[in-house]
Amino acid sequence: MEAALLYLAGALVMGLGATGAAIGIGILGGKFLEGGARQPELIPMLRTQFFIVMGLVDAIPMIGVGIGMYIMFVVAAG
Amino acid sequence: MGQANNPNNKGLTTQKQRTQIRALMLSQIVLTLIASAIIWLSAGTVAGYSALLGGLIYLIPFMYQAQRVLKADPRTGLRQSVRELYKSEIWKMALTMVLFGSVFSLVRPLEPFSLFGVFILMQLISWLAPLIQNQKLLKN
Repeated sequence: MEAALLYLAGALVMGLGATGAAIGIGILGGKFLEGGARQPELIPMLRTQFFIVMGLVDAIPMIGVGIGMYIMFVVAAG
Repeated sequence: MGQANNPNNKGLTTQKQRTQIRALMLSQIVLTLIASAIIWLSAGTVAGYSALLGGLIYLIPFMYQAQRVLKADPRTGLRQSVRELYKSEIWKMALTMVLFGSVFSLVRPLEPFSLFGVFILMQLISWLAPLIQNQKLLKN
C-alpha cells in the first residue's frame, strides 16, 4: 500500500510538472509563430531566444522528473 | 531595437547569441567540476560523484539540445524551425529521464542531496544567465 502511494506520488510530481511545461512551451511556440509570421527576417534571432526561454520554462518540470524518478526508483524500491 | 530590426545585422546578432550560449555552457561545465570538487573534499567521495552525476544529467541533454538548435540553418523557414525546436525539447526531456533512471537504478550508493543540489544549481544558472549578462541574451 505504501509503495503504491509512493509510485502515485512520483507519477503526480512528473505528470503535473509536465502539464505546466506543456502549457508554457505551447504558449511560447504560439508567440514564436506569431512573431515569425509578422517579421520573417527575425526568425533566426527568435529561434535563439525561444531556445533560451524554453530552458527557463522546462527547469521546474525537469527537477520534478528527477524527484519523481528518485521516489520511484530509490524510495519505493527500498 | 533598431539593431534587431535591421535584417543586415541578423547574422551578427545571431552569432553573438550563439557565442553567449556557448559561454554559458562552458561556465556550467566549469562550475559543475568546481562544485563536485568542493563537495568531494568536504563531504566525501559518494557526495562528490553524486554531485558530478547531477551536473552531467543537466549538461548532457542541454548540450545536445543546444547543438541541435544552434547548428540549424539560419535560412530555415518558420514551420521547420518550430518543428526542430519541439523535437529537440522532446529529446532533451527523454534524455534527462533516461539519465535519471539509469543513475538511480545503476549507481549505488548515491547522495541525493548532492545530486539534486548541483542539478538545481545548474538550472538556477540558466535562469540567472540573462540577468548576469545584463540581459544581452534576450536583447541582441
